[in-house]
Amino acid sequence: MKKSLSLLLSLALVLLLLAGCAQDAAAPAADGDTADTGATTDAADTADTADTADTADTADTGASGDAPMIGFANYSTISYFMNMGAAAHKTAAEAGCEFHELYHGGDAAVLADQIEDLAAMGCQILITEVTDDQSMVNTFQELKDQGIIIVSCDIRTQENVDYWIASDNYQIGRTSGENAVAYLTEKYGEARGTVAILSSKTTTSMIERAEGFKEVLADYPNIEIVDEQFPTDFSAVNMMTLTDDILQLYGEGSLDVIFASNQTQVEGANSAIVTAGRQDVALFGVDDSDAIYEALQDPNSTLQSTVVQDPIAMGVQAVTAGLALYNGETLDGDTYNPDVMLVTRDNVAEFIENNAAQVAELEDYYN
Amino acid sequence: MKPALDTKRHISIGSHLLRFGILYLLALLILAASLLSDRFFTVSNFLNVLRQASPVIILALGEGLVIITAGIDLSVGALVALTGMAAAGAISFWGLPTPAALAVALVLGVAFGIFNGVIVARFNISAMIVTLATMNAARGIAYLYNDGAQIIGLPAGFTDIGRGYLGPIPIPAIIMVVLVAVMVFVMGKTVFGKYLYAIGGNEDVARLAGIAVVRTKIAAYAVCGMLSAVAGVIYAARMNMGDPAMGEGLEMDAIASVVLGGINLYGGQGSILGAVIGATFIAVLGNALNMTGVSNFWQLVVKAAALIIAALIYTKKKV
Repeated sequence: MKKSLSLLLSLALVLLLLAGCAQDAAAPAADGDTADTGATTDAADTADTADTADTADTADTGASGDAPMIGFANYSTISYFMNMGAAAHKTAAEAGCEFHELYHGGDAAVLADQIEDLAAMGCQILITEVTDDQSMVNTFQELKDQGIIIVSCDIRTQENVDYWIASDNYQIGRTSGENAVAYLTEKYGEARGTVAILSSKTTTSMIERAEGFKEVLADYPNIEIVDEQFPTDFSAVNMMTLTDDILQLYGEGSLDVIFASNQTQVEGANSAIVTAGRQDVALFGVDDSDAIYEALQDPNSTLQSTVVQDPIAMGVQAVTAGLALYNGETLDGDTYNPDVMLVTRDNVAEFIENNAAQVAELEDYYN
Repeated sequence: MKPALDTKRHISIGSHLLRFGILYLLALLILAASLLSDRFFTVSNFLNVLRQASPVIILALGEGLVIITAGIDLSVGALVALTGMAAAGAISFWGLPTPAALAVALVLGVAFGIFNGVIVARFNISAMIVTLATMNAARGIAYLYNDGAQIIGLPAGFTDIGRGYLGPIPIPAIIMVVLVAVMVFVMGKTVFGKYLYAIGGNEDVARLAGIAVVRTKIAAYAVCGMLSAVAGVIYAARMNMGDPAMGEGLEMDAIASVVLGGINLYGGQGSILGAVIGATFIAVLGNALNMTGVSNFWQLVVKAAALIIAALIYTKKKV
């Protein structure tokens, strides 16, 4: 009994130490005084717009007054959202704001609970990564009635929010679609071929990307969409299994392209294609991760390109705009659409280098 | 006399159907899918399903072992992520060779299983509560390990465990077959296996019979942890990365496999081969639905119906 108790206590101690280490890592971010305020402008520069740089100055102004508490109901812990959260965290810390971040995992019910919890904690600015453009409308109105600033990040949610930030997901799909058409034209000497699409019926951003992709293909009658899947579980393992089966359904030479509309779909589809050795099937993706960049440099992978957003610019702008509105300032508009970028096998190395430098600046601000 | 014979025969056929019902369902499923899709009943797809099913079967072996003792382990999916991260980290961060990385993952799996087992058996706390908590702990540690990021840069020697072939046979399938053979032997031919059934049947009686109940239950959770680690390594190798989000929901697949395979959730009854057949059924069902173009929304309904039918068969069997 004593031995068991000792073992349990030891393991509990290890877990506490691990938790302590994690808190230590985040500690500088919680203390606005220790943050390098001079970095604000650098971070804002990543947004690559004059508007963003202007409003970044506003964040500095916010730090000098009564700094509000900021809450971020983020989506999940994949690198894209983690980078967005860290950028928001850094910007908030530099403005002297207390910052809280939670992850809802794509569950609208959990999200509703989380934003109510964040409001109850005293957050005066709420940044939300909603799952769709409708489910939170009533909740947002209730919070706005309490005087809370609502900033919607990453999805085109216009109703009952004070400010929204989103890449143009249709444009993301179109960019990938144009790249896929160019690939098929080079492969066959004309724009023809067969395409399968991994999409969604529940996540607005993925729906819009697939629509944008199909919009481009619609101009080419000899390119046929032979399959479109709407999975309910977007885990990479599930996406791999689904793609395994698609590859069985469309044997060697009968499928040219798979379009995957988010990170886990790209990772899963890539794994399935590599395992099956299906060099005849080219993969076109959206979103980024270390695994996706590795695939773009892997000769066994058929991943041709991915369209990436700028989560760091989004995180910076979410806090910057929220603070400006909190301070009663008027912004040029109620939205911000960061640029998207096509990362291919040709430019991936350069992109990784640039991205690593930005991520390194956020090291102390990950949740 | 004649009515009595009929009744006997009726009971015999009924018992047979109840005992092997899942196998008949599997056969029907294969037949139906073969008729609906000409791409289903092929060697290529057989090997595809074999690869997909292998890690789930391995998880179901461990889950079955624990459930036979009247326990449950909800942490297996999270342990897949944690051990996958550990193996990937051992290679990428520590520079260890693949065999050593595998050892790290297996030791971690066993240690985690022992931790589960000690709390459940020694302190007599509900296995569901304990493993629900450790599920979150394992997932949290997997995220903490690399600040939520994936671990990449794995060599071919490692990824072959998930992606490679020995001849035409996927390596995960070979690992799975070996583990199934070992577990069938352990459960059917060893004292340890008999003890597990005895504990699941009636723990007090098992204790009075002189069985070291606590130690045996801890061993069951340790084996479950080790098998979760094997599945974790296979998934990490297949995905070419350690991913803290990997394996979410796999515990449900493992438990469903065990239920479909006729292992009594209250312990003491059922064959470990049943868990293998249950996991195979789930994999074939998912594959068949994909191959026949059934929408993903309907797939959820069909899978739920299959589970309920299996549970009804099981309930009948118990009566």
